Amino acid sequence: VGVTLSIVTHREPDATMRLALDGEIDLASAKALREAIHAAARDRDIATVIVDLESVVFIDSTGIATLIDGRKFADVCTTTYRVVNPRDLVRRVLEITGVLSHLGATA
Amino acid sequence: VRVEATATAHVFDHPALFYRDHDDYLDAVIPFIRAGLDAGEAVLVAVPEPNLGLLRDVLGTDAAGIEMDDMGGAGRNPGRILGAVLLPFVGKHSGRRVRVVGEPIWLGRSVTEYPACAQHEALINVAFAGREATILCPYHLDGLHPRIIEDAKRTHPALWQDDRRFASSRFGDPITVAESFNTTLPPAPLAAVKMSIHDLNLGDVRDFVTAHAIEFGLSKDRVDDAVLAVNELATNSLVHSGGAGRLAAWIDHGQVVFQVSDTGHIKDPLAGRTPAPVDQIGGRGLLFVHRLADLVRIHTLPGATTVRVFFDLPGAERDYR
Repeated sequence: VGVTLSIVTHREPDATMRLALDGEIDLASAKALREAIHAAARDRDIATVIVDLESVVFIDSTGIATLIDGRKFADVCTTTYRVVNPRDLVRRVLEITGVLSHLGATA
Repeated sequence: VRVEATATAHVFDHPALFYRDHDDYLDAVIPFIRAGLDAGEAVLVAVPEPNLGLLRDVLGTDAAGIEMDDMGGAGRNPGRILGAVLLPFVGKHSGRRVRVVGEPIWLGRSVTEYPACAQHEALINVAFAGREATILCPYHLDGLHPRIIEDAKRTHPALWQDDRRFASSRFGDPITVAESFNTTLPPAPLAAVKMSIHDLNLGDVRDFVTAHAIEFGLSKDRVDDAVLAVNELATNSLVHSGGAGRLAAWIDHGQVVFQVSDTGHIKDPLAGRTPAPVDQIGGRGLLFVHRLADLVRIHTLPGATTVRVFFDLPGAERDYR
């Protein structure tokens, strides 16, 4: 089974960590994403975690569960958390499942 | 002047209305709707055409205060009527009694769809138990098969016909009645294409669904729907059924069918029918499948579950349209 999701972390100004995702979020890749979100959210030097879906071409309910888990974990860590740039199919999935605004998805 | 039978005696009221023609329909449904408006209840009319247009014409300006949904589309898949139509309406009007005209079974429903419709009717009683609501379900007495009318008596605690309002002596335990429609599905055709689900091969599953959905003639959006739905079912096999399952695909009566079978068991008959709160982490898979597919049929027993999802091919116009 090949790697279906790449996760690249970018340190940005204002203690922000951007997780730039590329590929597909499903059962096979969700665990790595969860770990990356948790690591960023619990980092004391990080005030804001941005999950950037710009290059994600597929997401399912397992991926949504991972993003919502990330939101909860960030809340516990008092880290700001935003999911940004859902495109095409990904945006449609977040809309149909009704979680788009809860995840703070923008653009 | 008709007697309003939906008094405060029951918290949840779920009568079936047996009607023969348009006049019959309007004579019962219009006063039902107006009584709800007069009582300050939130009113939803979810019926197929042509009845939807008929009600809209007669209601005139009253229609403005009512939510009206074409059940032919919103309830195309009966498995999503609770999760995508009825319960979201209740959620939007919390604190208010709701009144619904819900017509999930109409003349164009196929033999394949019908058991899922009957399960839905039975499970309304479970999902709405204790809720401040009245759901009136019209049944076309002359057009529908007599067996369907008999089933309606099992799934509705109250029956309306002409001027009579009476309790159904046939009303049964809703879970038991729903279970009676959990029956073996007809065998897949020998010509079905197949693959196995194992070792997290979801990318392969999606490629398989994409290729066959295109080959079978689904439009671009519906190919996406099929990929998303089958991906969810395959994920369930991987998570809940020892990491394995089988996938098959074929065309049947103007629909593309995908089947996922495994050794799991779906114990909760309401699984996939109750909306997930936005902050809930999981529990969206089957709900999402119901939103995407035109029909979902499930046969589930301990150790053996088969789920079929159906997608209408373009041009395969169905009776209800």
